[in-house]
Amino acid sequence: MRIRLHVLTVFARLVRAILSLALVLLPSAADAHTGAEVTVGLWSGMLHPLTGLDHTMAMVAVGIWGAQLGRPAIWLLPVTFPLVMALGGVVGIRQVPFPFVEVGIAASAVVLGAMVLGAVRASLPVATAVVGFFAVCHGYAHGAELPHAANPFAYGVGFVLVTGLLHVCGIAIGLLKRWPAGALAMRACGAVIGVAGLYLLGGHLG
Amino acid sequence: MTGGWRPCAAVAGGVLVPSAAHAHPMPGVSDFYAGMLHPIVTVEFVIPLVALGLLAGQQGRGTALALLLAVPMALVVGAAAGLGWSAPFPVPWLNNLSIVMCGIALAGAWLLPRPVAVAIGVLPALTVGWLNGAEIDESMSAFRFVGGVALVGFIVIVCGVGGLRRLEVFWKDMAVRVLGSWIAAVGILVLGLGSGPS
Repeated sequence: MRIRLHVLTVFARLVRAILSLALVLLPSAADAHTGAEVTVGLWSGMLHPLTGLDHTMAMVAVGIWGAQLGRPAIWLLPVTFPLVMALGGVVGIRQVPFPFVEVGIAASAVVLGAMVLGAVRASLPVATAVVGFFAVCHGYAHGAELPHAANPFAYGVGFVLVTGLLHVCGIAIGLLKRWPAGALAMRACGAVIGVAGLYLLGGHLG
Repeated sequence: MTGGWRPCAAVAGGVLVPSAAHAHPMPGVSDFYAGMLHPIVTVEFVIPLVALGLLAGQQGRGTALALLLAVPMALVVGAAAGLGWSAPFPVPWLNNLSIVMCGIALAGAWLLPRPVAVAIGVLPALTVGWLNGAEIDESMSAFRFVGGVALVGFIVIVCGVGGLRRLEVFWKDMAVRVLGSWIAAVGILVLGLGSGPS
């Protein structure tokens, strides 16, 4: 009970911190320099990770898998993903050719969903490499679609914030592993993600 | 309203006042308060300042104290330089680069040697100071504005150190590492979107 309360307290603090940050970054408050550009950049950045189901599912799966693996993967995977994704984003912005990127994104949902479903105890380097590879695919797709943001800073903040929050959602789901029914529900999430990924992958290959 | 939500309400009240959103001559807001508000309502400045606060909180007590002194001083030096000279080098690009450096230092959670940590902290403070100083116009008191900028830098470091020391160790380390990776990722994306130091 004490651990549960502590986890809830930490999440409450995190939500408060994020709310404070969001308030600071609210469009009306951000008028200081660039006005509408900040608004457009922030919102487009925030919405971008949510516009594709494959993106959303894969990012949540990263958080769940990290929580399943425990320390230090619980923080290492959510740290690796945005960093490598940003590098992939820069490659996409530069329009460097990257074949089969959409297949890679759909495959990320399949593979990560399977990892969660099977509660696969991959070694840390392997887990990091898997997440890093798929992060490049996701980052590339986002970067290639938005080469010219209205306000690069606002876009980057919105994009990374929502991506990170999707990982946090995954970690929150992953904390259910403390209870037997929760662990089962978590693996069911992995199955749903994997099946949806297979459907999307079939669409790309078929 | 519980006590924990009061800071959110205070921040909301502060930043949602329309007059506060105009960075430069602020009707009804003195230059000192304008100097305090300017860095925290501008996304390019608030991110490096938050990163500096986290960096100070992540390091040991001695380094945190050194940053507590060095960051406001660097903000003042940077603002004075920005006020007096046009930049001979790409300050916004350096600001973005410093964000990446701070973010990576946070994500790595290394206990850095004090001179290295101070050097990493001073660079964004100089660039933020410079960019703020460059925007002071003739109608404003530069002395008061820069004082406000320096004070907000001091407050951010104090909040970072104080806030992080209250959190339980494992969750603190994890949260700071993740936030650091977000900050570095924003910096990398901005460097990519904003192109090179030309």
